[in-house]
Amino acid sequence: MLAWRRFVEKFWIGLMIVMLSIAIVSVLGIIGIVLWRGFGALSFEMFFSLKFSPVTGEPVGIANSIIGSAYLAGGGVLLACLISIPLALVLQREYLSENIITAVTVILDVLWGIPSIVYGAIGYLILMSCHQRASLLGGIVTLALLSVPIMTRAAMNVISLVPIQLRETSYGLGATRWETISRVIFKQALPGMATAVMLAFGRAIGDTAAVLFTAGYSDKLPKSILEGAASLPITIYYKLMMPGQLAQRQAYAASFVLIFIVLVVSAVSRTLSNRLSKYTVK
Amino acid sequence: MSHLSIKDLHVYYEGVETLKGIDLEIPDKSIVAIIGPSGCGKTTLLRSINRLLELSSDVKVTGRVEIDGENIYDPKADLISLRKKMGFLSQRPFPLPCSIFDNVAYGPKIHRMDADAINAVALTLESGSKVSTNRKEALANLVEICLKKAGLWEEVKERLGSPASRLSIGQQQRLSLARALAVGAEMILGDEPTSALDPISTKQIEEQFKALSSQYSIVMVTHILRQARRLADYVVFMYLGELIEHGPAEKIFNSPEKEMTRRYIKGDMS
Amino acid sequence: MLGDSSLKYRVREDCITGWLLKVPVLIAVGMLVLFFVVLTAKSWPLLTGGNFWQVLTSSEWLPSEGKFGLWPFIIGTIAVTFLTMVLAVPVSVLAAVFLNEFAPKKLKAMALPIIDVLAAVPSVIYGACGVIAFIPMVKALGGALGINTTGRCLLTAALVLAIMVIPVILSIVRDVLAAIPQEAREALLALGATRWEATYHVVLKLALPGIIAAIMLGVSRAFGETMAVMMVAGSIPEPKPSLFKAVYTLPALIADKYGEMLSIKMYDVALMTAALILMVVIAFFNFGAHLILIRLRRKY
Repeated sequence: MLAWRRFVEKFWIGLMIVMLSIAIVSVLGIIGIVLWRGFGALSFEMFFSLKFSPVTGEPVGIANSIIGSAYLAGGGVLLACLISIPLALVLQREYLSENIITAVTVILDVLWGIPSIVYGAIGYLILMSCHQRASLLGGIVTLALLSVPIMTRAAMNVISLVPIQLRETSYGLGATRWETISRVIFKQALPGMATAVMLAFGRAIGDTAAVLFTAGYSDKLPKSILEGAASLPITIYYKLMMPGQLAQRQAYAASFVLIFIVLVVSAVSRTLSNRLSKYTVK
Repeated sequence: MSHLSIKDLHVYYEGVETLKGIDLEIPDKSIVAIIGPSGCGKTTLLRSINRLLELSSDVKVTGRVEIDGENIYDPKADLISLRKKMGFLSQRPFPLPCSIFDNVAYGPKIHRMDADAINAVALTLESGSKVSTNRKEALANLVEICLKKAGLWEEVKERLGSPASRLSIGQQQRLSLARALAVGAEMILGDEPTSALDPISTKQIEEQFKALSSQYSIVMVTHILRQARRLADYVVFMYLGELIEHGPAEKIFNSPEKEMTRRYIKGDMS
Repeated sequence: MLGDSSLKYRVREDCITGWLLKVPVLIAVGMLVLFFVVLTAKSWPLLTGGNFWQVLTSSEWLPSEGKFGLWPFIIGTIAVTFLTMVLAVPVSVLAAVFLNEFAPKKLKAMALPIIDVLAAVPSVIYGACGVIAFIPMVKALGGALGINTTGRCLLTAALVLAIMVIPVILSIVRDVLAAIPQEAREALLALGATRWEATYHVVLKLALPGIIAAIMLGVSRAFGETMAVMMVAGSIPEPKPSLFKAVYTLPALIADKYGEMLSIKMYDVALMTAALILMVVIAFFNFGAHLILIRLRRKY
């Protein structure tokens, strides 16, 4: 009897190890393949050249995509900050009742789960109704909408980790809500907020569907906010499907850059939150 | 009945030596109280007896803990059967997510005990108990006996099928006791079993321990001196991982040999 | 007294900021309302035209003739999501159980951050890998089985999506498991159960609602996934999806055809209806999953 029970245990453990291996190997494999192909396509020209190929009329490098992505994601995240950070600060017991907080939290979670294609569709409708074409501005606004739930939830989690004694100390000294929140809570939560912003940035820069209709595309560097702008994910998508050596290489290079940025942002925000929280009160 | 001896036990927690060479013979059929200030290894000692220690981080154990002469730390030792012999009550009782009946019946079910094995346990608990060759009947009989021995039968006999989570915390702790008895434990280990309970439940558990001590060896960790005075037949005093003094309760409380023991008993050390 | 006027100022500041801070709440709630209203408004003609049911169930997709049968796309999305979950759930749940209950500390400490970081990889990268590696693989597999396929099919999409969804499910299940108090495992282990028995009988029973919530979140992720699917699934509407045939999902449809939205009458209405369906289904799964998780968090 006992032998059977031990055998059952060994069987399941073995199965679980297999599953874990599949999970890790497959995800690492995906990234590895793309990184490997992308690495081969990297070159100085790819990054910095603004020339155009005489043969195809396409740009030789992906500089337009890199800059475009930076503007789009950066602008979108900055815009979202204006809403998310106050929102996270106000969703606390000092300002709102438990019920409202829960309700808004659920709404944010639902918004978070809505696929970016829907954000893109709505962004497009908004653009149309304002008689605008797809542009950098459109992309920024759509990405901002996309980032708000992500950033707010992450910021809320950080704020909830602030020890209650900190609040008690501040209020006990006679501070108002605003003073407590802006001077004590915010400072304590700052590293975590920075992480939340980076998290949103990583998500925004990699998102394709949201900018597909709303940001347009351009072979050149974006000069005005009302012009279309290229972005890394869109470039990958378009160029991968196009025939020709150059296009393929650009797609791989763009993939490499994109993964690289996302992994770096992820890793940095992780170490940053660990490092900075050393100085905050525990 | 099982006999427990501890020989030169050293425990290292993440490299730090937490138990420094413990030698102890646990007297049978009595209540042994392990006392001492907090953080000095009482719980570590208790949990090393049924090897629950290994669940947490880096733990290294050297020495021997022998149940009836068998060293439980022997790599070839059958941990599962050994654990069966020892019932464990943690500080916070945890009812399994099922009915009261199923909670008590869990042990026998997991160990696939047949009617004979179940009857054997029932007879050990109550020599005149009924036996049955039908497994279901035997199990129902065993559950009743265990609940009675744990002092819970009267309160739950009408609702054996209701969820155990609805019991009060004192009842849950007695349920843990019944659970341990049902697998045929020969020894009961308690890790501050009443510290989470209200005074009435505490009294009930203490009464059950006293009643069971004629049949079982009960080893309990407690930081409440008064409780040790009330219950203990044998006392073990620990300080900073070392076994300072141990002996019959009478002796330790009234005429302890070591200065440190005297100070702790008097209350000069918390 | 000296402090009097500054007190008045501070109280007023607190009051004003209190009200100002509440504005973003309206914005957040407004967003959800806006989405719903805008999409519904745009889809209104189809919703109320009397043939909404027909649109949902018809397989005729001929926009130029005004025929918008969404069925192939609906069933396509369901098929992709279903197959993805079949592949992803056993892997992620078992891996999470192993990591939390059985893995040595070092492995746990290494594996978890890796998985969290990998969850952030954008879907277009998965799509790219799908194009580079999976399409040829599936094509070869089909060939070995005697099936003629371009490699752009349901199976490829599900494989790629499954890998994408694994980190999502894994980390949620792992969090749920970690929240279960240690006493639960101790209670069974002390009775002489094996570690697997303790896990199976108690931990998994307690974690079940959380596991279901994780699966629901995985479903909503797979359901709404656009890019990876677009790149590897082939874009042919298929009313009877099968492993090696191309499949077309709702998100892929919207993304592909938005450019033509205004050129044909009612095309934009049809696409927005597709978006509305997407949003409602996903919101439903998300809402349910988060309700479960909130209730679980309250318990512990």
